[in-house]
Amino acid sequence: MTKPATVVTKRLWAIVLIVVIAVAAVAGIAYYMLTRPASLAEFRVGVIAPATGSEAWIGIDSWRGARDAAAEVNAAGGINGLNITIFEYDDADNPTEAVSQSRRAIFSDGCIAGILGTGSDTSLAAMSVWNDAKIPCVISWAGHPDLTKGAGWMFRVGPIADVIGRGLAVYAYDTLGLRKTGSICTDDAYEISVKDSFLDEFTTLGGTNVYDKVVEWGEKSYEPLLTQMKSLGIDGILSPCDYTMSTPLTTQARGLGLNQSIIYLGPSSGVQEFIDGVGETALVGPLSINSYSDATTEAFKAFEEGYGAKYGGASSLGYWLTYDSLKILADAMKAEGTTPDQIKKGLSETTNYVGLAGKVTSFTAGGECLRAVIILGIELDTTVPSEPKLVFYKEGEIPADPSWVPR
Amino acid sequence: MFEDIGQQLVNVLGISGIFMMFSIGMTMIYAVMRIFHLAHGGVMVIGAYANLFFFLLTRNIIISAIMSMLVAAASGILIQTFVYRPILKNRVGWEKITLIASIGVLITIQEGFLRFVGATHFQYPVQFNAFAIDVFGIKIFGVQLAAMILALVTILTLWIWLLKTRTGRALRAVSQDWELAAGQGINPNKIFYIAMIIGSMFAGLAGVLTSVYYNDVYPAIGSLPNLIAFSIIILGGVGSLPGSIIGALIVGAAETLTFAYLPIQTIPRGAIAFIILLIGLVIRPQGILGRKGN
Repeated sequence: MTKPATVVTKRLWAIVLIVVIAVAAVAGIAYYMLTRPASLAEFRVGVIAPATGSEAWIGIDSWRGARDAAAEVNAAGGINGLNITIFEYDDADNPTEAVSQSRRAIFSDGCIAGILGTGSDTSLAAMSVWNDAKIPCVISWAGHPDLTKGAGWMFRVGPIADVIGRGLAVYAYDTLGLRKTGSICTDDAYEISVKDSFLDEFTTLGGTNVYDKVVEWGEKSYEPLLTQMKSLGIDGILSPCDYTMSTPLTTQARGLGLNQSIIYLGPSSGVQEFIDGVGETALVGPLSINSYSDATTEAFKAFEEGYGAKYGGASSLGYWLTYDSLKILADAMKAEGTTPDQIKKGLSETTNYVGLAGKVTSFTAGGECLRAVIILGIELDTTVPSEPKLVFYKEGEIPADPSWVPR
Repeated sequence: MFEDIGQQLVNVLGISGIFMMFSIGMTMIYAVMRIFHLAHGGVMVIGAYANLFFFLLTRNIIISAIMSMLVAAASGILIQTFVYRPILKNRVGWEKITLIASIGVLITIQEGFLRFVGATHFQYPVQFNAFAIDVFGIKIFGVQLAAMILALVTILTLWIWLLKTRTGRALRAVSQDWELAAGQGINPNKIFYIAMIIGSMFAGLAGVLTSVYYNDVYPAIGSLPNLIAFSIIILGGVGSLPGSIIGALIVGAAETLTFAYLPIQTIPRGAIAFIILLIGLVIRPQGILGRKGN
C-alpha cells in the first residue's frame, strides 16, 4: 500500500524546513563566533606553542611569557575592565597539530586573537587558518619571511630572518672586515632564510662566500666540513643558530685551529647555554651573536633575576617575544577595540613599543615589525678573580632598514 | 693537501670508534640471543645521563664513565629479566615479539627521560671536547683519541676473552646453536645475561663518548646511533663481530667523506648509512662477513 501524495509532500517540506533551520543556525553561530566583539566576561587569546617534544623548552617558556604578560595587563585593569584569558594549545612542534590547534582556538574556544609562539615550519602551516578566519594573529619568534605573506591578519613581533641576515652581513663586512666566508647552516627554514639574506647582502657589499653547506637539524659532527673550510682559507664562518649545534661547531672549529670570526645565524635559543658549553675555548677567536634582546642592560638583568626566582634558570627568547606579543596585542585592543578588524587596525598602528626584546619602532603594511639588529660578543669577566666567567657585551646595533623587509 | 687527508682520516677513525663501540654491543646481543635489540639506543641514553650525573657528583670522568657502564649493565639485566626472558620462555614467535618489545623499551626509556628529566639539553661543566693535540699539523681531539683507543682496547679484550676463556667459549657456543649448547651442559640463560651485560656496557660507553664528544646530553641521543648501528650490523654481516668493525669503518668513512666532499649543498647525512647499506646488500646480500642464508 502506498502513502498518499499529500503525506509524502508534507514530510518532504518538513525535512526541507528542518534542514534550512539547521543550516541557518550553524551559519548564524559561525557568523557570531567570527564577528562577535568577544564574550562579555573575558577576552580570549589563544597561544599555540610546542609544549611537548624536543622544542618544549621554548614552547613552555612562550606560554609563561603570555601568562605573565596577561597577568600584568589584568592587574592593571585589563581591557576596558575585562580580563584577558590565555588559552594554551600544544602543537608538539608538528605542523598538522599547529593547524588543528589553531582551528580549535578559533572555532571551538572563540579566541578573538592568537599568538603563534612556535617555529617557522609550524607557523607556516597554521597561518592560513588565521588568515582565512580573519582573526588577527601575532607571530612571536618564528622568523621565516613568508609568514606575513598572506591575507594581512598576521603580525610579527620578532625579528624577521631577512633583517637579521642583512644586519649581520653589514656588521661582518663593515665592522669585522670579513671578505671571504664559509657557511654551515641546518635545514631549518628560518636558518636558511637568515643565511640566504646574509649572503645576498654580503656579496652585494663586495664579500664572497666560498663554502655553503646545509646539514640536517641536530647535526653535531662538523669536523669534515670545517676541515674543508680550513683548506679554503676563509676569514669568517657562519654557524647554525641553535646552541645544541653551534656549541659543538665552535669547539670543533677552535680545536681544528680555525680561529677566525664565527658569526651565528641569530641565536634562536640559549645564548647562556652556548657560553656554558663552549667555555673559554671560544675566546680564541671573535664570536658574534645576534640577540633578540639587549641582555647587557640593567633592566634586562633585573627581569632575568625575577624570572630565575620564579621559574629557575634563564629565560629564553620564547618568553621575551611571546610576552611582548601579548602586550602589543593588549595595547592594540585598548587603543582600537576588540573586534578582529579593530585589533588588526590597532596592531598595524603600533609605534615605539619597548619590551623585553627591545624596541618595535612600527609595523610595515605587511605586518612586519621594524627593529634594530642587536649584536653581542663574548668576553671574560674577571671581576671576581677567583671565579672568572664568560659574559656577553654589546658589539653593535645595526638599525633596521625598511628596504630589508621583503614586500 | 696531506694535512687535509690526514685530518679527514682522523675524523673517520674518531667517529668510527664510537660507531664500533655501539654496534659491537648490539651485534653481540644479536649473535647470542638472536634478538634485534633496538633498545640498545635506550641503554645508550641511560649511559649518557648516568655519566653526566656521576661526573657532577665526583668531578672525575673516569669514575663517572665506569659508573655509567655499570648503570648501563644494570639496565641490560633489567631488560633481560623483565622483557626478553619472559618472551623467550614462550618458544612461539619470540623473534618478532622481542623485536617489537625492544622498540617498546626504547620508546619507554626515551619518553621516560623526556617526561621526567625534560627535553633540556644538558652540558658538562668541563669542555672535554675542546682539548686537541697537534701531530704534524693534524689536530686530534682528545675525545677522538679516546674513542679510537677505547674501541681498540675494548674490542681486543672482548676478542681475547671470547677465544681464551671458558665463559667466552660458552658464549660462542650459544651463539652457534643455543639448544645444542644447552645439551653440552651450558646454561643458555646465564650466557644470555652475560651477553646482555657486556653489550649494555658497550652501549653505556658509547653514550659516555657521544655525550662528551658533543658536550650534550638529551633524550634522543641514542636515536641516530641506533639507526646507524642497524645499517652497520647488516652491512657487516648479521651477528659477526669482525663484520661490525668493518661495517663501522666503512660507514664512518662514507659519512665523513661524502659529508666533506660530495658536491651538493644539502647533505642528507642520516641517509648515508642506509645508502651504503643498500649498495652493500646489492653486492653481497649476506653482508661483508655474513653467512649465506643468515
